[in-house]
Amino acid sequence: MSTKQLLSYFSLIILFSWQMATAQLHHTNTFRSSDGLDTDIIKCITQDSIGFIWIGTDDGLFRYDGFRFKRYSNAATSKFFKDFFKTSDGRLLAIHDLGIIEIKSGIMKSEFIQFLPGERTITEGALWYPKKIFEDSHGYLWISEPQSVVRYKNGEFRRFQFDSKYNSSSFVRSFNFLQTDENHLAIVSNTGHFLTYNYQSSRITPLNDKQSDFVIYDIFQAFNNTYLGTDQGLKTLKIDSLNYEIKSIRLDKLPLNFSIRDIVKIGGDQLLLCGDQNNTTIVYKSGKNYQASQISKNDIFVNQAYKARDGSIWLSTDRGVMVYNEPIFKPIPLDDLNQYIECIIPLENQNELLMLNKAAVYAIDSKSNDITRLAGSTSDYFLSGDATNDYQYVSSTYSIVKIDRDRILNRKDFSDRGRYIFNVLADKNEDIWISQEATVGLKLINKNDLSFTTYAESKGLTEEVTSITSTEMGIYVACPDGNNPLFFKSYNNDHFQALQVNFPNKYQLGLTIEAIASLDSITWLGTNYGLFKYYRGELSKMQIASAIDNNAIRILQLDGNNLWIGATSGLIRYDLISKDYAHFTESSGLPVNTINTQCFQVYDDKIWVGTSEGLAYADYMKNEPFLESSAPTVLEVSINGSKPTKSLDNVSVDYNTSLEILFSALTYPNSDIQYSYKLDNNEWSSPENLNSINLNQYSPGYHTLQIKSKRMGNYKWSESTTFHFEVNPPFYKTPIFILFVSIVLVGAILTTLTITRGIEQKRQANLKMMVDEQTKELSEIKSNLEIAVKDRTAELEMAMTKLKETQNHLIQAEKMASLGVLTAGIAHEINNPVNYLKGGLYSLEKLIIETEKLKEDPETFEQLQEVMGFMKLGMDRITHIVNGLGRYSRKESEEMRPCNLHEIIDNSLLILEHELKDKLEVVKKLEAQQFKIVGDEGTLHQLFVNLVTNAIHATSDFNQLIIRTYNSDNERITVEIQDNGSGIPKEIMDKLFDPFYTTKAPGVGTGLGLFIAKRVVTEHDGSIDFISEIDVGTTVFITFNIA
Amino acid sequence: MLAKILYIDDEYPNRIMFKLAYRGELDVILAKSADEALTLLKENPDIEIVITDMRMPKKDGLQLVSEARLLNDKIPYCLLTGFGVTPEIQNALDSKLIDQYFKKPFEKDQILNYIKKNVA
Repeated sequence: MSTKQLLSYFSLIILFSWQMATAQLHHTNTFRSSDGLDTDIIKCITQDSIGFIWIGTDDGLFRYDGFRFKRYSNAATSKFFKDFFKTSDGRLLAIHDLGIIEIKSGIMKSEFIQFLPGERTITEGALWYPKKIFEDSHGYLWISEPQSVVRYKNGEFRRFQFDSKYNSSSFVRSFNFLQTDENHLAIVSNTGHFLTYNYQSSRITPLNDKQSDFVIYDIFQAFNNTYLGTDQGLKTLKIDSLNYEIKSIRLDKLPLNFSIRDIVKIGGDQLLLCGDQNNTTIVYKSGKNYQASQISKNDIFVNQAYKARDGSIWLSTDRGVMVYNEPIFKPIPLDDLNQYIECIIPLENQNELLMLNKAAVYAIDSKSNDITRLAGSTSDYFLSGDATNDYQYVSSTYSIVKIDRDRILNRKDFSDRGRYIFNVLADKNEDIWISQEATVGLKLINKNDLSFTTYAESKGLTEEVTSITSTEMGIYVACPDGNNPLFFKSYNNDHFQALQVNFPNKYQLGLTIEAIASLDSITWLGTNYGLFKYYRGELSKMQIASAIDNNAIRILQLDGNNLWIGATSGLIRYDLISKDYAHFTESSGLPVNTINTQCFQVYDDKIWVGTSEGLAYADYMKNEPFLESSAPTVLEVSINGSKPTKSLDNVSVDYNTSLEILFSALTYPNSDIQYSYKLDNNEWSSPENLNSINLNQYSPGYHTLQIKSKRMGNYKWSESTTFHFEVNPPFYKTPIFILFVSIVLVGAILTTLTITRGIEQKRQANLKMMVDEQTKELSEIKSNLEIAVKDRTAELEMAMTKLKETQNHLIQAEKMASLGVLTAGIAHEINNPVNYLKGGLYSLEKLIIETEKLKEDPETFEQLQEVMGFMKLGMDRITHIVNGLGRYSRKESEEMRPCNLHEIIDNSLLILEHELKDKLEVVKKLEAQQFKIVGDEGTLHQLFVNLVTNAIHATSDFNQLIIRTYNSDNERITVEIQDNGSGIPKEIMDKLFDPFYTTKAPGVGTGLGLFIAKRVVTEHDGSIDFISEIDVGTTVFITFNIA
Repeated sequence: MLAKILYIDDEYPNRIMFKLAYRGELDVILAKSADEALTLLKENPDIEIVITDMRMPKKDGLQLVSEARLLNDKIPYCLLTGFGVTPEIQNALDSKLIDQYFKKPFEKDQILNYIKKNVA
């Protein structure tokens, strides 16, 4: 008999230390009575085979499809629901106060069948306030009642009642069940009595007499252990048909006596303990150790937890439904007021990364995630950094600091060379490059003494640098210049070359390239206008997903076949081969959607990101396959607001009616899902978090609608769900209607014919009379028309005059625009000679003071004379320039008078001297013997200034301009202006003289220069011609008659 | 001892006038190009201030100063130019590449005062 009695009873406390924060669940949503649930007291939650979430409350049964809660008020005879249970043969049961129902869930209609009835008093064959179901290995269902248990199988109902001392006074959960072996089932009462049911004898025997000093709410088996959820915390249970042993598990940070209502396994090694107050906790088992962290800081009472197929965790609480999921990215808070991360630097082969925030350098252990503060002070502002095999180089404001983890080896201030050092890069040769704000080009840093060599204009870089990237081939440098945004230097070259990257006009203004990645001959450019691909000299904008295509790109990093893209709308993993992409956002656990520049690293099976709100990491195996999202289910179709009753597919719709289709991926939370649809052969719609489609415009016939969905995180698009519908033709296209209309028409034609025959004869007589009248009318109209034509001609002439006036204004405007360009140069040209005059005056002053000695000192006297000479020269030059300017800007065209063409050419060159200097070497061969023509000096100046200016713009390097004159015969003089510039493309030759035609950027040229030139030549009865060859040059020939 | 100054301008009249204007007040060394100036700076480590024209063939004044600073970063570098303060010059002033800017035609006393204050 002793074997049937309690043999051992232990209560041991096992103490384990809390080591690190386990991954916190990510709270996604709470649904309360105001969201469509009629109560806040939620008892139980489950998911059916379609994917709907069922919610049992103490005020009825609800179903949730991701968007709405649907109440089933007639599902059961009671509205107090206690629990759900799924049997091994696939039934979904719901337990309520007055029995058990089976739920047959359907998309359009759900059915509820009574599985077992219930009564308010103890009655044979009926349940009495059932609480919970257990299915044993023999196929029996065990149902707990407040003071008894029921065994049920195929209509065989048997109630076991106990001696009153085993009874629970609680109406909540009275008994739990546990299969101890094939022949025994343990029945554990709420009050702590342990009983054994023997299948051979069909008898229940108690294992102990005395109730325990704690209340047992739940029994749960996991990790080869049996756990007890009690009002005194978590315990383990060892039990067989004769003995049992209980040990307490001490969970640090939690009170000893906290209540556990339900235990659920939520991950490979994690349990969720549901409790009251803020004690709902995740327990993480690592070997023999347990670590715990609370998931809620609020005072809530959690009855149950349920893990859905998509991994979301649903809590049934006294404050509604709460949904959690496990975030992909897990934050690691820094012990620092400032969580803004500036840069993350991988250290190769050291299982370590360095991280910079404003005032500190930290080390991250890539295995344990431990963070150690290495260096930094409040006077620092760390911005960027990189590492070689030996040392690390970081920038702090205007300085470069060379460090060996926590040792500062050297520091050099660059404040006299520029502003903040935003970029530090160690290239493949371990050369260190930096760029400074408001400073042209790069600096190459000497690793020993931190001295530097400038790589600016002389090395091909002409602008401030915004980002630097090194690849296997060389270094890419981006500059904020719409025309020349990208430069490259290969490792075996010492000079940067501008790459011919021509962004379309609309992207040029304010364009900055913030990120660069390169593989073989493809280069990806991340800009503030989205992502571009540069391949064999061609630039194309990439279309990956509408959510990112026009967002600013901050990060590009290659990882095998993947391109990681950091955009302001989140992080994207893009598979370059399959073109699939995964999208990570705040919903995936990122602290914020935007990852900071230089703050993304794939390292050691983890992804590290730094944001304005802190550091986070995700576990990631290289080239991990994308997960499939679940395909959407069509939930509801409505036609002009009403719903068809038969089927959700092959719906028939009348022409011109509105069709609304509601769907859901039945994956939670729904805010994580994007949908896209495709009607017939149209394009897929741009993805949106919108679960309905409204169709209005469609043609008669059969149509196919495909819908697909995509979850945030490492998911690709689901298979598509297909929905068919037929649109009936409009009434006027139905055969009956067409037949009816045909008959009516034939009848009408016959009737008309009969009637018209009579009318015809009458009409003939009237006709002759009418013709006469009309002839008269016509002649009147003719004379009116003549008057109208005269009026219109006058109007046109007036418009023409106005047009000419406008043209003159425009021509003057062009002249003024050219003048504006020249002003800076003229000022400089005038100031230089005036400078000699001024200097001369100072010198004269000095010499005159010394005048006493003047007579005895011939050297000083000579100097005095030289000074005077230069003053005169300076004066002459001013006069010359001012004269030239005067001629050029004379407004009204003057009378034609004889003038000297050579002098005009000389003057024009003088005006342009500033523009020509350093750009063009001018060779003058004014060889014509007769160079006087009759003309207008003002407009002729303008002609040559225009033509020479064009030649200057056509040449980019130091080049030659040849101006030649000769007399082609006795009556004519020809001026040739020859440059060796870029030449004029053939296709625009015939547009050269069109007004407003220009190849220069808007605002730079008016497009009137050659138009005016042509006009000036024509006014002088001359001719102008061009001969041009691409990359060889252009020659202009102007011929005038000699005076 | 007169302050030793290096003046660079590609126009001969500007150079000679500058030297004469300060005769007896400054020890003026002249250079007609950036390259010549760099050679003179190497040969004369006792030069106390450099004043240069902006626009010159080959290398302009700013390029000259950025290279000269590698040789001697302790003395003031000034621009004397007929241009107004262009954005390029403003950048050079902001980044302290250039210490002072003088406009052509030059004011004799302005330069003299600056030298008195800034050259030991």
